[in-house]
Amino acid sequence: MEQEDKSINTNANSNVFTRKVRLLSKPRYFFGNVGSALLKALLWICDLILSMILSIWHFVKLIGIYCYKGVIIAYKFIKRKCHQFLYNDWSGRLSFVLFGVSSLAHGQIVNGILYLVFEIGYIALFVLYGVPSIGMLKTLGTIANSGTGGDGEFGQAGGGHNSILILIYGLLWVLSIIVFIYIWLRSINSGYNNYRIQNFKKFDNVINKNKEFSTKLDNDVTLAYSENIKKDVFKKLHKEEIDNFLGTLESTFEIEYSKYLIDNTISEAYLHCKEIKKQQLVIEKLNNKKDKLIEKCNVDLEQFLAKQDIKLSSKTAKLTSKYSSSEMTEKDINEAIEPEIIDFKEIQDGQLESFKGKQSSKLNKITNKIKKENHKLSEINKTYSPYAFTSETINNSKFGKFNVYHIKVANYETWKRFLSNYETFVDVFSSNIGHSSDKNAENANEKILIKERTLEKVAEINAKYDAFEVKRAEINSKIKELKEAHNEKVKELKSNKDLEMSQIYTLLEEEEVSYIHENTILMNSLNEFPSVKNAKAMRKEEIKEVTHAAKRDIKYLKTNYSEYEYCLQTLRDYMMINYKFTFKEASEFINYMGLKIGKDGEIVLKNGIDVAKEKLSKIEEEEQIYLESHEDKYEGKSKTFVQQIKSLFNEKFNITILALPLTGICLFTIVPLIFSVLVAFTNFEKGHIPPTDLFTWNGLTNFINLFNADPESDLAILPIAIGKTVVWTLCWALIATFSNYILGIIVALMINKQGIKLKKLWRTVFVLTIAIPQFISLMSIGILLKDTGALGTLWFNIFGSKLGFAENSDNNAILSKIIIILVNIWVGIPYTILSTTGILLNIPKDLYESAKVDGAGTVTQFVKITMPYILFVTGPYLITQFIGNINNFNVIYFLTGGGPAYPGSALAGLGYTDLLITFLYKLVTNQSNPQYGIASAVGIVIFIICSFISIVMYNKSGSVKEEDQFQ
Amino acid sequence: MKSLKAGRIISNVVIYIILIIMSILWVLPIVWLVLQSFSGDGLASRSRLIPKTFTFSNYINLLTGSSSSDAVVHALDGKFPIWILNTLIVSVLVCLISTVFVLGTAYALSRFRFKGRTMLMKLNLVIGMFPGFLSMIIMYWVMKEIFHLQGSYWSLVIIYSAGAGGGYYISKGFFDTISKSIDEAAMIDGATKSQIFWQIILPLAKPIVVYTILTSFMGPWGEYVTSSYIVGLQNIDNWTVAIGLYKMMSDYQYSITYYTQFAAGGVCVAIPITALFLGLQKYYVSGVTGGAVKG
Repeated sequence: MEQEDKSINTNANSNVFTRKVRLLSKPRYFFGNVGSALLKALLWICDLILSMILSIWHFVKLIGIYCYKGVIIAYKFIKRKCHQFLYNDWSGRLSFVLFGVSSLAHGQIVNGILYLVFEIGYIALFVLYGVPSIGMLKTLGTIANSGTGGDGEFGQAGGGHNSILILIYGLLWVLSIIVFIYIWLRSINSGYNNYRIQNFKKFDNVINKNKEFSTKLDNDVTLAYSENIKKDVFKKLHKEEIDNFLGTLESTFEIEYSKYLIDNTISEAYLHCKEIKKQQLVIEKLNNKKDKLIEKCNVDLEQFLAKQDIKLSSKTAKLTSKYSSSEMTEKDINEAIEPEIIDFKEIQDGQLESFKGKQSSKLNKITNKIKKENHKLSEINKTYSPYAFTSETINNSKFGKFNVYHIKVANYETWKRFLSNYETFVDVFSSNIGHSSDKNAENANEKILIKERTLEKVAEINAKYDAFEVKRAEINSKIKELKEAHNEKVKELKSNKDLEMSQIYTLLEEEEVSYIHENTILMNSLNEFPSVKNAKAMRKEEIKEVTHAAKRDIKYLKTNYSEYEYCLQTLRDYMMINYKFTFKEASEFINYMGLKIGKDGEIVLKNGIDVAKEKLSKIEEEEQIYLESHEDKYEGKSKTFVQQIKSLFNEKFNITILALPLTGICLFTIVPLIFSVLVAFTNFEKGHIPPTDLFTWNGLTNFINLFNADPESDLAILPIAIGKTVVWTLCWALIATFSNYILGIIVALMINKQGIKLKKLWRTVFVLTIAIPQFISLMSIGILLKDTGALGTLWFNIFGSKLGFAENSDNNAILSKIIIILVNIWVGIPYTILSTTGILLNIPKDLYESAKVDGAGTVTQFVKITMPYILFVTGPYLITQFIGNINNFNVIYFLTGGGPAYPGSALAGLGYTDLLITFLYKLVTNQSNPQYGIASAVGIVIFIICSFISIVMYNKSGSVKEEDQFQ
Repeated sequence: MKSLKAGRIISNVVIYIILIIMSILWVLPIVWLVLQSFSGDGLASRSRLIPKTFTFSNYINLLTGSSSSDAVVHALDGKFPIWILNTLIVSVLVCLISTVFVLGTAYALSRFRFKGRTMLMKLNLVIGMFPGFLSMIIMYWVMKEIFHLQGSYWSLVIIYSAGAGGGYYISKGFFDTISKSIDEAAMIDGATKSQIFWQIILPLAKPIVVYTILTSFMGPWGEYVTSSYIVGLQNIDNWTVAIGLYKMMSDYQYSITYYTQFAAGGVCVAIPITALFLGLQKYYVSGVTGGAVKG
């Protein structure tokens, strides 16, 4: 169902797209002059800047909204917890302090013990280790290890501090508090749930009794809200009714709780009314807007038509005046200008169409918005039930399933059913003794039959597809004949000297038309068959299906039943068919009976018939007692430990399967990231490397150094380097992404062009680059291009000067950059080819055909159809590519290693072609002068750039988001 | 008619010429590397397109460890088989663990609707904005100070595989396309969710399973950044091939002795992975295109 919807959506989408492209592909309207192109570029840049500002605004707004939502959620959360404390039994309340008491009190022993052990263990460990760790976070240690070398192990050096360990353990302890709070909430919830499960019936009764009242109350509130009556006034007005209801509630609940329920109902109802009104206002506003827009559209359209009329008449006048000087009759003039007028009209029609398209797209946007809002309104109505406190306090689906009464009764019933028919079952078993050989023979026969049938079916399938092939061959030969006949006729006509040239041509044309017509008919009939390849695959598939089914059937037909086995089998079937026992129950009961075959074909029973009768009466008694003691048909029980474990493999399988990956991500991705971000605010660098020297917090010094370092210090190069690197990184990412993308698509088009052979070979050649590990291919290119490498030498021999790729001299930085981009094309094109080939093959063919009819050339088709279509589909991919290129370590590091280096004593060998990421890498791995703090700051800069760009891009390509829903 | 046909032929010829030139450019560095690996000229052969003398001794020396007697340094002699073994251990372990992680995460996010699901996915997007190497700054110290795995390739196994679950996008996109009615039918037959995952969804998602295995094997095989920093340069026996081969070339001292062996090593490393990739190319393409559309 869902998939169907999707396909419809995509169809609709592609229709819209088709229309758009058709308009675009009429070349006449869109080949503006250079000026308009410049204007367009300017507009695009303005749009980009505007959208950047808008993105920032959206971001701020988003933060505001989240803050607001957060406050509301916190308020609701605290309210709920208070409620859970107030309306609970003693064990549940104690669970707030001592985890798991409630579980223990309600028979979930294992759970309760786990909770308690966790709490005690955590608190003890926290007091012993956590508090000192967190305490030391403030200074990151004061006592340095002395006397040990650089590789001294922590703890062996006489109890000195180690800033890294303090940072890591301190932060881990801080984060562990989150886990503790989570477990605490779990214990509270489980305590409350236990209480609710036990008292489910009580709540349920109240609901059923008072549905009527609640509905009435709800209606009253709606009425009161529309008359602007406030909550307090409402309560006073309806005091009598509320008191009445309180009376009925009092019999089951404490007075406080009853009051709470009613209060809650009324305030929920008010809230609901408020929300609905808000939503209605929004919809009204939109509707007004739509009406206005429709009006405006009509007016605009009239104006547009009027303008067109004026233009047409002026054009006609111009043309007539042009001809009027020459002496012609009016009719002649009209005839002369007619083609031009028609042309002009066509252009106008096109303009009108595009104008209408624009208008309708505007209208569509607003109607879609209205639809969305309406949907929201219906959602609000759906989530709200008229008797609000039922949804707040009692949730049938959540707690009703813990009622084990019906399960228990059903269990008694099945036992009774089994025991009362005990004798029949024994009879069935004994009556089948001695029949196993018959069954074996029967099954063997059946097997042979099945095999024969399968062979027949396979033959049928083969015949079907062979017939296809024969027909196909027939049609093919017909096509060939037709072509030959056509060729002969053409030859004949051409060599015919009796006719005039023009006659020959008209005849030729006719012949051509009739040939094409017949040919297409034949081709169409050919297309009705599956292609040779498909037919082969289909035939294989069908045969496979049939043989598999036969194999399965044969597998279940046993021919080697022993006597005992056969009797058991028939008895089980009998029980399942005639007495509706499940397989599990039947097996269990047969086990209970303990049937065996004795020496003389007699059967032996572990539990005799008399024992069964005794058991029957005993169970009946038990059932009676149970039914009497549970007159309200309710026994609430929480899940046992075993059941909970089982549910981890069924409805809670997501927890099981996510547990390890999420812990992995938390411990080895998120937590290290937090550490590294924190390191950016410390002086962790040369001279402050633990364990011999400690580091400590230094505020924003690293960031200040990054952009405004003291020119006297050894970090003086940083501000210049970071500026140049950021600019180069962005340029690089932009050029690398788009060059790969566009060139890759062009190459893919070349390979996929009709008439190009050896497609597989070309593709494999390009794919080789992906297959070979990048560090090998890039390093070999790097060696090739160096002055000492083969290509460098070749360059020197030809041009007489050194290529100077990545060599340390000033003037070849740009050259190195260009070469890097070229090499990156070498690396990147294959990825684009692989990922776009499928999409290229899926572009609707009729787009190209209509474009051809309109006279668009190959280049126009590429610019107006192929590129927009692929951009349309792969927009998000482009953004990730861009981010990936910002962090493209391999290409830079293996090719140039960042060189040529900056002049002077550059820090850590930073160079002109360094990206931010290699910059970071060099700062960290520099053996003699590591700068961890500044490196972390650089990492944060990368993060800010990446996130900013992706926010802007995603905001700008709004269609990208919608597109995502369709695919 | 005639001119159209002629035009088509010309354009085809042009395309053939372009494709042939590009193919030469694309294959040239690879062929050159292979030629270098058979070169008997030592470091000098890097400035020639085709070596003067050919020999097999580079491969023999690389695998057995006997470099010529007049070599300057011998530090890396015979280490290549050890590196290959290290890399193989790391790659296979990472491949196993991260495949399970990625597919499990993708399945959970595709088929279950639980609290915090969207938040989790958004969080993953935000994490993706940080450069991966940023967390390595501290991971080195964590591995050194807490796990005492400094300079060992076992720390690579932990680092590569632990965070693998974050790369679920492509598999999730694929799982989303498998109809949910299959799940429902299985559920009616009494299968639990875990059975559905292992016995129904995974066999149906074979292309994406192969893709995940392939990429998670190829990742560690040719990875340099993280491994060079985490394993460090002191302990030669713990290097992976990427570190070793890079080191053979980056130091001039080493490159005099080992240049041709580097080429031979590169070929040795590339051959199995290239064969694997070309064999399973079909699955890779299906994964990449799926990912391209999903973003």
